[in-house]
Amino acid sequence: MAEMNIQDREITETQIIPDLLTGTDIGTWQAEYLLREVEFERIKYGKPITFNWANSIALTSFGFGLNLLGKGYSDITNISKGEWIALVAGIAVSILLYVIGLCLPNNRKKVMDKIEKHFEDAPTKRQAFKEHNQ
Amino acid sequence: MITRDNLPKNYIPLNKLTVCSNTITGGGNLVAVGDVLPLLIGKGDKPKIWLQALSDTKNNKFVVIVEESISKHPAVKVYEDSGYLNVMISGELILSVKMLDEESVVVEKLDFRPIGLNMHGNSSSLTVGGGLFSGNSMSGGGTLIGFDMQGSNRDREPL
Repeated sequence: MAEMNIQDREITETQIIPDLLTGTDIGTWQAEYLLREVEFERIKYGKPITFNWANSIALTSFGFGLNLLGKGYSDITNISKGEWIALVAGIAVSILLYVIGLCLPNNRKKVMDKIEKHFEDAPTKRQAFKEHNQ
Repeated sequence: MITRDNLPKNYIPLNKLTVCSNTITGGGNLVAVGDVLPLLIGKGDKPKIWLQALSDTKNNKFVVIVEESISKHPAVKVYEDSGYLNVMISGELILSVKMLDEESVVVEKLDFRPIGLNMHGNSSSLTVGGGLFSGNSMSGGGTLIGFDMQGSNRDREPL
């Protein structure tokens, strides 16, 4: 755009300036988190595998428990000792795997905590002024 | 949003507003983006400032960050210093205003680039986009600088 120099004039109408807007806005004042690919991978796959196993076994045990509910609803003696043992074993294994998961390094949690901390601490600040193209 | 048709009820236009050496008399405004008035300075014991910043560049939506000289945004500070009423954003001064008398106010410093408008100036001139304004005057209650949002010619009509 050509430079316009208006000096010492009596202006009678609004001067339209086509490049008045800078393209910045107040909504982008907090520094963004620079997510690296390795962190993305950790979020995607960084959770200990034992959580998945614990989850699968817990769901299977729950299904088995519902089955036992149907079987023993009218008469609880219909459920055999072995079935009770299987149910308890399923729940116990699931809890054990979950606890093991808590003890293993959890890269996903580390990255998530880091991102959370960033957004708690990052000060609100103005976005850098974008130069308009002349 | 503060627009030409939706002015704050406590806003009383000034008879004389001088912005970076340009004088607007008769209750006019400095700048309008479409119908939105990003800056209003009105009469009061101290100058009453309303300031809006772009909150959405895609739809040209504005949010009020200063209302009647009170900050409405955590990053914005409004304070008085040696007779000047200043507005600061994240440590940067974006507006410095001095009241000469009940009817006239002078803007000595202005930098609206942090709030999305390409305008800045000091006591001698005002730079807006590719234009430089200094020592001009406007009377009759119009708007000195405009940005045509919808491509209408409303702002170009003689005042």
